[in-house]
Amino acid sequence: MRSEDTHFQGESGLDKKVKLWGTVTLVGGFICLSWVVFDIFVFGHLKARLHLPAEWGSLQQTLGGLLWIGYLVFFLFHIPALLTLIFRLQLFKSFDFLQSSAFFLGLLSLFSLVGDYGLLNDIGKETRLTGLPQSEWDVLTVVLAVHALFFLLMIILIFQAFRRLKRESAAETVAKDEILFLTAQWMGVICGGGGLLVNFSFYARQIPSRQYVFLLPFCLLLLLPYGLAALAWLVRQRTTKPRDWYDEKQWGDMTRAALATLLLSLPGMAFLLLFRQPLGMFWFPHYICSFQAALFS
Amino acid sequence: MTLGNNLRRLRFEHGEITQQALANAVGVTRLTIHSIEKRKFVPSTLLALKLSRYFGKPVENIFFILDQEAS
Repeated sequence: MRSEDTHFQGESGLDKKVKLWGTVTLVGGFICLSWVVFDIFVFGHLKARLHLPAEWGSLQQTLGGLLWIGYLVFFLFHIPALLTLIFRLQLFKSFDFLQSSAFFLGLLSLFSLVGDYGLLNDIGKETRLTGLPQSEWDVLTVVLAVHALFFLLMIILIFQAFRRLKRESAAETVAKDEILFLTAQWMGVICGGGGLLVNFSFYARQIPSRQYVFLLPFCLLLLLPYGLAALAWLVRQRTTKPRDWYDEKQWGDMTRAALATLLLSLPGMAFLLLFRQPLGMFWFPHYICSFQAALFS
Repeated sequence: MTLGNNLRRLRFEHGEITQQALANAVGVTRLTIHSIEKRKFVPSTLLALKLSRYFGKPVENIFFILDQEAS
């Protein structure tokens, strides 16, 4: 038993590093992919209004701000992603086509982020001076596709690595898999937090109530990574009875987390109910985000 | 009062099995075994009996009550 256990642990805990950074990258990958979808929607929305400054309001400012946050998230994603690639290479000692493509795309995507910053600034300036610069938009779209391809490739590589780790280390075969559960849990917390952030940024910028309808699709997009992770987890659990989905500690943890989330959301909900009564659209997505954050946390 | 346990020692006395292997044997996650060993989680009677059966020892040889000073 011991010799089997140490098969990968003999590599100075590289398997643990791959699992840890791989999980972080997996969560980040789903979030970044969803943010790419969000960016495509926002680009379309902003592009139609870029040459009409009269139509620019607090909604467009907020969406612009979320775009910049998205690029910051893209940048941060590269840190765990590249670490995972390095640890994966050290552990498996193989450098296949997918892995080399991921390295190439990762570096290209990382350096392109600097270009994205310049492009977005150029588009703003040129539109004011000479009208909408189509070529810059095209480049921006191509670079966004590069980012998306890298995120997708990383997700595939991590699933591949997890499967290989499970296959090659018989003693580490997991009867009750917790990696996907933990991934879904953290994704729920991050997506729920992101949803709350978007909601409160709309509130803080005092966006007119009729524009709150824009909030719902963005909240749904923010929930997409969590939805994908939860769906993957449900597919894995399809052959087991619901009572066996979790062990007793996980049931207890979920109950406590649900209670804590509910208690934390109550003051916020009460505030919205008392002070923002006419804005029924506002608290509804807020509540969805709180609720889904509780579901797997 | 807290619940103390000899899980870690018993694991090593039974062929140095890993937390994961023990978790698989009794149908829980590795984190649950880890939490029990660290006294962060009190197992149910059913899980305590499963552990007892796995190690072939009475429950009171695996789990015991610690008063505040002893803990």
